Amino acid sequence: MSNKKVYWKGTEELIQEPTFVKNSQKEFSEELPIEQFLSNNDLDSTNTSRRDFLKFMGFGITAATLAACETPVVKSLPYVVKPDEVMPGIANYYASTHFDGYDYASILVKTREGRPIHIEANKRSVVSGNGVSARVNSSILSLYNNRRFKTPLKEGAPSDWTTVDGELANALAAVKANGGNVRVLSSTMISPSSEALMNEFSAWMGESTESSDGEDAGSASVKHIMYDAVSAAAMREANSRTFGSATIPSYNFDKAESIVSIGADFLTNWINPLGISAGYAATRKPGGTMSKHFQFETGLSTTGSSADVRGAIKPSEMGVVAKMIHSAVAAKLGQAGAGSASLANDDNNVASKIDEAAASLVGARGKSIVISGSNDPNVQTVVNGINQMLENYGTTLDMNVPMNLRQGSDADFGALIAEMNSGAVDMLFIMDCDPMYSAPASFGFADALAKVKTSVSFGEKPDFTSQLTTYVCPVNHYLESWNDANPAGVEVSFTQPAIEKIYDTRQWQDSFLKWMGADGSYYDYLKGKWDSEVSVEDNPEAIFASRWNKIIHDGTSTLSAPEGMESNQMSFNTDAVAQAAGSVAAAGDGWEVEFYVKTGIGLGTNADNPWLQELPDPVTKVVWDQYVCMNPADMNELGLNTLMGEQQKSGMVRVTVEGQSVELPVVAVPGQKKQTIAVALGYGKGYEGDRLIGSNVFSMLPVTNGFVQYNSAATVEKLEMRYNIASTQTHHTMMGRKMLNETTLSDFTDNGKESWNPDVAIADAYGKKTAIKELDLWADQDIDLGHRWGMSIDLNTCIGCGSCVTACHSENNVPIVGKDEVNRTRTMSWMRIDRYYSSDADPEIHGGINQTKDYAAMEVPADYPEVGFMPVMCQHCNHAPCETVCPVAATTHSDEGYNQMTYNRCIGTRYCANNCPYKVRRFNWFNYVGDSKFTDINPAQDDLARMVLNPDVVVRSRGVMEKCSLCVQRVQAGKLDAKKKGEPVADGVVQTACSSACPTNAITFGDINDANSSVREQAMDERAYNLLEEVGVQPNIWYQTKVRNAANTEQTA
Amino acid sequence: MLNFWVSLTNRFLSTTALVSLLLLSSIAFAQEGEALYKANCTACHKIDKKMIGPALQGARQTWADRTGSDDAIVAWIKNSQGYIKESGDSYAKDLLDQYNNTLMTPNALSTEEVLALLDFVDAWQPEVAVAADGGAVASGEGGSGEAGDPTLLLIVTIIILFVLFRVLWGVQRNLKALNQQKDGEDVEQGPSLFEAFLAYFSKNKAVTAVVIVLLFGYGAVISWDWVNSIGVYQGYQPTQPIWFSHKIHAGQNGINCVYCHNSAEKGKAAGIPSVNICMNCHMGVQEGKVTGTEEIAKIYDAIGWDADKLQYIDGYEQKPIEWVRIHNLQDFVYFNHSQHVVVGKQECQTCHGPVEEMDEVYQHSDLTMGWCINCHRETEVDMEGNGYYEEVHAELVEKYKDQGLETFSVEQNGGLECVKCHY
Repeated sequence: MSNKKVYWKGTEELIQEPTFVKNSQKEFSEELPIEQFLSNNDLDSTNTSRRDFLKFMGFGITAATLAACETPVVKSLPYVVKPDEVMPGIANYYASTHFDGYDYASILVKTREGRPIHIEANKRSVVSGNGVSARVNSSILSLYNNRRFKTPLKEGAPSDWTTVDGELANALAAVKANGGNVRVLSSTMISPSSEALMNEFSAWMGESTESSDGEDAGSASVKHIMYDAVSAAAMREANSRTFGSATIPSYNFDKAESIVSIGADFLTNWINPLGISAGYAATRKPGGTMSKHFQFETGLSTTGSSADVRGAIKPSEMGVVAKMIHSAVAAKLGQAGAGSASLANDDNNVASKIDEAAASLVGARGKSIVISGSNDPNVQTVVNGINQMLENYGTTLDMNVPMNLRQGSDADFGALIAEMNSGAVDMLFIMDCDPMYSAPASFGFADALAKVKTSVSFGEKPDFTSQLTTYVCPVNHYLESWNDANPAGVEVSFTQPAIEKIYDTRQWQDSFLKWMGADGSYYDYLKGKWDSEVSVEDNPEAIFASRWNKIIHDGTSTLSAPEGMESNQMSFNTDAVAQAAGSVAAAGDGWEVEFYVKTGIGLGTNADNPWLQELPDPVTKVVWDQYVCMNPADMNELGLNTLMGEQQKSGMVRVTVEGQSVELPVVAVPGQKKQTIAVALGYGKGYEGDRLIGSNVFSMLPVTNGFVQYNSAATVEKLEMRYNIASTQTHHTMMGRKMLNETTLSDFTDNGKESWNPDVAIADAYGKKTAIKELDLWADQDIDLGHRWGMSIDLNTCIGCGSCVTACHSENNVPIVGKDEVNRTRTMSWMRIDRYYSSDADPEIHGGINQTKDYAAMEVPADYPEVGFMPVMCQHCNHAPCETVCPVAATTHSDEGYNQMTYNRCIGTRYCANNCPYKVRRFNWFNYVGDSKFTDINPAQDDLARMVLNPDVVVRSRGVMEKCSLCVQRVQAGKLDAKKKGEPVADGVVQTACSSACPTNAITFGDINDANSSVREQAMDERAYNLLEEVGVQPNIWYQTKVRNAANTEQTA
Repeated sequence: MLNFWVSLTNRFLSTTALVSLLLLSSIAFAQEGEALYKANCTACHKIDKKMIGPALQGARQTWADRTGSDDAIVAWIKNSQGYIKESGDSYAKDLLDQYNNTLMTPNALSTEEVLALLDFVDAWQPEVAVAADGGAVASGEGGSGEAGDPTLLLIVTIIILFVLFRVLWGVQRNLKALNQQKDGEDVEQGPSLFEAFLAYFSKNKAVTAVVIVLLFGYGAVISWDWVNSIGVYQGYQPTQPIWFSHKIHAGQNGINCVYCHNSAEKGKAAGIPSVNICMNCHMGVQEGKVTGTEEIAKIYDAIGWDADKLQYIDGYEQKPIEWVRIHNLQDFVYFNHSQHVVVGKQECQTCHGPVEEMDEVYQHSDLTMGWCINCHRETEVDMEGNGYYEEVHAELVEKYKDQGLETFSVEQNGGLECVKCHY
């Protein structure tokens, strides 16, 4: 039975590595250095006598006492003229939009006294759905980045707007007069107004002018090129081949019953991950129709971890897999297939999984989705062929609602570089992208840029491109800007500033308006555009002075639907598929490398954001570093250390791709296809103090037929160097006890709860079993009185993305501690996401009374394990073990269900952490907001960045314990609001930071005592169980059993 | 009273004027002038200075000189708009222009009343410097209060007595010695004061023990009190940048606390009013009874109000007022005013003391946790009619049915739990 599965967090635990076993028994893995201190020979040679010591002590205590008695004078500065909307102590929310060329999210910005402090999802948005990603909610910290440009630059030296404006206006006039070429390079631009402005600029430059001698000098040409660091150009190319229209359709995952992804990490990184994960989660509830998810991929991605069936393939085999699926589906439907293909070294039963996938797809014809992350148009064309055969267009794939994200064209970018190299480009404007960093070296962007006469970078902070451009016109952070966005179909959302500009910056639209000599700002431009386009009558609430006020308040609106869009009925070019299938490249031999986008760091735009750097990677749980992912089997072959930890330095390899190489440490990732490695993009840009983190591997990306490829053949050499990697993987172990309750769909539907989620019972000496709920050491808490706040976490829909972790950091002022401290197991995150690998082998049991379990036999199947995620925070036990051991009653129980932590009472004995079965308590080893060790790491030490702190939550000091409070400040605020209105707290009104951030609604928060609350319903559900129920601590947090959509094949019982 | 009137709208003013007129009509006109002036004019006029409207003193003479009689000014005062329309008087038009075309509301005063008013205005004489002197006296009195510390007096008295005793003791001893010398006896120097003390205490062990115990006990009490006073700033009364009197505003003028501290009903902070709220009244009230113009000028300085031209200065760089915060809670305490004021229906004075009697505000309560807890133990939650409490009230009645309780304290409703204030 699946319940016999054994779970472990890492190879260390699996093989019971001695250091790990030793540390797992202790609260703190490192020894206190007492011996070392006493054995210090220098101790005797000091000239401080005991008498001196006592004198200093006496003086110190007296001085401290006297100093403490001084009354501090606190000044209070009220506004001179208070704005109506600002009320001290009350948060204002503004609807806005996050789009940095890659991640789109319609958001709500929480501001306090005029400063943004937290980002949540704007649930009105159809496109971005329920939540925000870690990258989106962390972007608020980047607003307060003091590395941002403070003035415009000219040739690298600080300048001012008057100078820069004057010179650029002259330069533009000269280009205009001489009929030169102006090029604008940006990442995907989805703002209709910005595009219109670009067109206006183009028209303005194109007005024919008369040169000084009265002759018509012709008109200047302006061209806007979009280029994406991670490109989906092949998808557009494939749709152009098969439909004659280079659009990306909307993917309706909520309608899909069978999902096959070939190398697309669609839950965190592909096209529109927020909207997709929301739709995906809707189909992942067992009971109704549960979708079946097949993932064929190289590295173990977040998406692959959630898959029901995962097949490990080489990255060059994506085309082969697509062809095999095409053939198998065609065979089942009696249509012409794409031809035969086979996998070179199939050590993961991929071929049979492909058959299974094909059967599932055909079974869910019209309700299935096949996608690929490949940037090879041939592969994408074959994928289109599969979807066409399955009749998915018009149902799960909607060409009528085109995605405007990822419009970048690799070919256009290549053409631009050729043009620049020819010297034909007079002026180049670059915005929202950093091509010097993110363009493959083979494009030769640097050389091309040198040939441009005047280049202007609209950067927010220094990047690789802005170092080389003639001018830098610094732009606002998006939270200081106005804009609109049309991410897909008819949805329009708006960006509005949530704070006055911090530095002397200007959004690029305003710069263009200024240079064009237009009146008014971009705000006027935007408002004018929307006022003229949208009817004022459409204002049903009538509480807004105008339609403009309403759309800015709502954050989103809809465009009138374009007419004549019938592309779902467009003719499909089957020949193109056959042709593409013929040209799909065969799989390569030898080592291959996959370059992937990491869930936290993304494209590296915010690589200097410490929240993202300290967010453990969903799969490897590594923080603050770039590394090579490799299968442990390969690592053993190469003689690399597969373990991690403070005492376990990782081995290093040199990865070489077409003459370029990087040297990186290696991390064991079971599930990584053998003979392949995966390296994350987005590094080589962020710093931890003075240390540059990782190297830029964008430059290594190969370009094939004009399309940037995210995988390549590579050579991998072992180096003799070693490198210390910090990971949270082996921390906070639960000592081999079963945490993640998992079952298969067939077991779930066929058998009762006792089969897959039995109540825990304890047998006495006579074998009589008593349910753990009836055994109790403590008196009952008065849990039925008033509220009882609780939470339910659905392990089926948790995708491990980490959005809740950063949301918690933002809401609760959780300190950043840096790599060194994480390495010492001192991470401070209140919420962690445990990642468990699973396997079906049994442990060997040795010995008699002092039994030991040996997991060594399970090493072989661990090469390609199943994965499960489990967010763990304080479980708010009704019978909390931490409370009974606190000598000063600093942690006590509340009638509302909280396990309360009173920081000002805590004296730091750490008994509570020692007694916590979940290891969720965090000790403040340092004064993170004052200690010089954290000056460059913890944003709370920066005068500007500390503006992000939530004023309703105290900043904890050194020597106190802290932990999840269930966002008690939000609950108290919600209760107060209800009391003032004189009505009960409505279900769902109060949300914790994590439950609100979750893009898949995996976390439900509410009042268990509220008979109608959804959290109560979930806690009563058959799938619900408490973590470590056998300990009998009666938590207020429930987990919903994970159900994989698979047949129960392991009938071992 | 002055401020109170100023804070009302013009519309309200005219209604009030009518009411007062009806009331006053039967009273002798001689006393009427002053009352009429205060009821009708002070919102916009001063006797000797320009305000929203021109200074009143001497106006009668000017108009009489110009037009030859009082008729014009009476008509003008009664209904200025109608007067201009009828007469087309260019002087009146200019005057209106000069004061930003702010028209005076027509009123229902009789000609006699207007004349009585003008009589009063012309006869009025400024009270020379009385106000300023009064202020100085008041602050002087405040200062002398500190010197009269009884403890200090006691210590000084004790020291003086001790010295006196010591001197007398020495004199007595010397006299005794001289007496012995005179009598031809052997001079036997008596014990010194200290020796006498020692001798006494060594003889009476019980007294010694009692004295020691008393001294020790006293010391312990002093130390305990001192330790408990650390971080407690009860009575803290810092000097504020503006001598703002709550006694005048909240006490004498009866302005509601939340008129200025309006966020107390909405959020966690009661808020210090922004200068624009001060200006609601002080646009008109330019002079105080105690401090004259000096303190009010500080508000004008902050916001940029030109008291002569009676308008805001364009492009003025406004300066926030740096008030000194009196009630400082530690960072680890969350206190929400609206919870206590709106939901708990507490009076501001419960914690802040008789603010309406304080010229300068001081910290009334000690703001210790014991003080908070005590109140939470004693105070009853008003659950009646609040939908939020309906369910929990029923549950509490059930829980305390043995004691037959129907109303519950904050404590019984979970108000002593740590996370209610600490997070």
